[in-house]
Amino acid sequence: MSKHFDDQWKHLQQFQPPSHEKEQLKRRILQTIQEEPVKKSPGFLLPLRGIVTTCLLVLICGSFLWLILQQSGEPQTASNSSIDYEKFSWELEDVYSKKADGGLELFQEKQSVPVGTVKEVTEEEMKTITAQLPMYVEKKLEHFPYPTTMYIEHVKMIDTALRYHFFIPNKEKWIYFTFDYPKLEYAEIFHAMSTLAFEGKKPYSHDEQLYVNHGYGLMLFPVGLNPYSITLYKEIYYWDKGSDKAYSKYIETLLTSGWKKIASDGKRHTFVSVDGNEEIIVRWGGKYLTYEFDYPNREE
Amino acid sequence: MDNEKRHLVMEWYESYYDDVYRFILYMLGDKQLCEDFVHDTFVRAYTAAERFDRRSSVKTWLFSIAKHLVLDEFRKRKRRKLFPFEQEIPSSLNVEQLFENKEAVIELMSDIQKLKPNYRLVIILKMVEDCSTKEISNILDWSEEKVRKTLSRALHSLRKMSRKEEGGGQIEQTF
Repeated sequence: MSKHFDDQWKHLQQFQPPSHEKEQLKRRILQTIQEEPVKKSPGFLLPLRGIVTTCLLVLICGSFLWLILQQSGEPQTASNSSIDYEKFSWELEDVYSKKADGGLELFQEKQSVPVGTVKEVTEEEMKTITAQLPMYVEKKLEHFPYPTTMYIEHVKMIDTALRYHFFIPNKEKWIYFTFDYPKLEYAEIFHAMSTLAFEGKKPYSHDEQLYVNHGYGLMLFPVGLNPYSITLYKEIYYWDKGSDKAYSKYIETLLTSGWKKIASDGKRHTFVSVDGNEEIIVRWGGKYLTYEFDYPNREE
Repeated sequence: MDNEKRHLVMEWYESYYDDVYRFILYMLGDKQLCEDFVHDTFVRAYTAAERFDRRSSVKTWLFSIAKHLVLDEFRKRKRRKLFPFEQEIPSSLNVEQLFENKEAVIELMSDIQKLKPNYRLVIILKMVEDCSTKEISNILDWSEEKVRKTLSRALHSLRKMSRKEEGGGQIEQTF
């Protein structure tokens, strides 16, 4: 072993941070630790919180009841008309819509910037959008709640890498959703679209698990995943509707989608892509689906 | 109870501050960020102290907390400047003043910063922190085989970089 490099490693090993910094940082940590209990809700407020919640619940229920009573006397004219794109729901609970110019903006709780938009567009507008933006993927999403065409736009913005565009036909027009990745994770975008339900238009419910690709990746992921921890080389999702049986079916689906299984150990399987450039370990346990990514041939 | 916990975490701080600091510094290559992350590591250790089951050593456990923080930071950086097919953007190296007149050390650190995060993790834990393969496997939640394989690839990458730069330096695999 070269002495030259031995010395360098030794320098790195022997490096000691300045002692005054150690003391400063210690004080900072102690201060944070001491402030910690203040952040917790004080116990005496708990009963009060219960009362406030009950009052709010009564108020909300009352408002709904009042609205229903108000509307019951009016003629129902909209039953056969097109979908009202503003009246929808999905299971992605922390993403909600707000009125904006020409449509709706989608926000995620605790975030001030919109993560997407919803509006209605004409056939011509749809063609302009799909022709003029740099779309890299165009795909019809089979068995989704409504007939949906998806486009993925390559966006070079500081906070957005990909923009998903979804179009749902609505009489002569299109209901148009956009979502920005990585403001929302791929799994969240598909969770929204796969559980979409418009008021007055019953969504189609497929009785088998749906799978999608995330971004430009080749790996198939079940829809309905809730991101738990996403790091560069490891992704963990909570799969609410997952089960041992669903997981076995998923592994079978991966095998038919071009991935080659190179190792197996109980519920842990290692797959390699056709070109051999990507290795993915998939694990299932306690409702958590874990992926570990490796790129054996990638040049540094 | 809180006093006891505080006392315990401060004991850990006294014992492992240097190790945690070095690990984070070499992972991020940024002195200012490093201090924030050391702070966060020990604060997290405090809040999670009850859950620490002592199946691993305190040092290993602290490293695994630091690892999560560092990887989250890489993820955020990737999110900020992310374009799917590009490599991880190396962090800005602002540690020259820590190694005055040791150009070769700074160069090695700079090379480490060019490695992908998995390689960086394993090489720092092995070559700098002198962790065993088993300890690294616990910290990273990898199999020991994956640790060995990744370390070998990481060393190979470093070796290639140093050859390119100097046309001859050698970094050899040590296990």
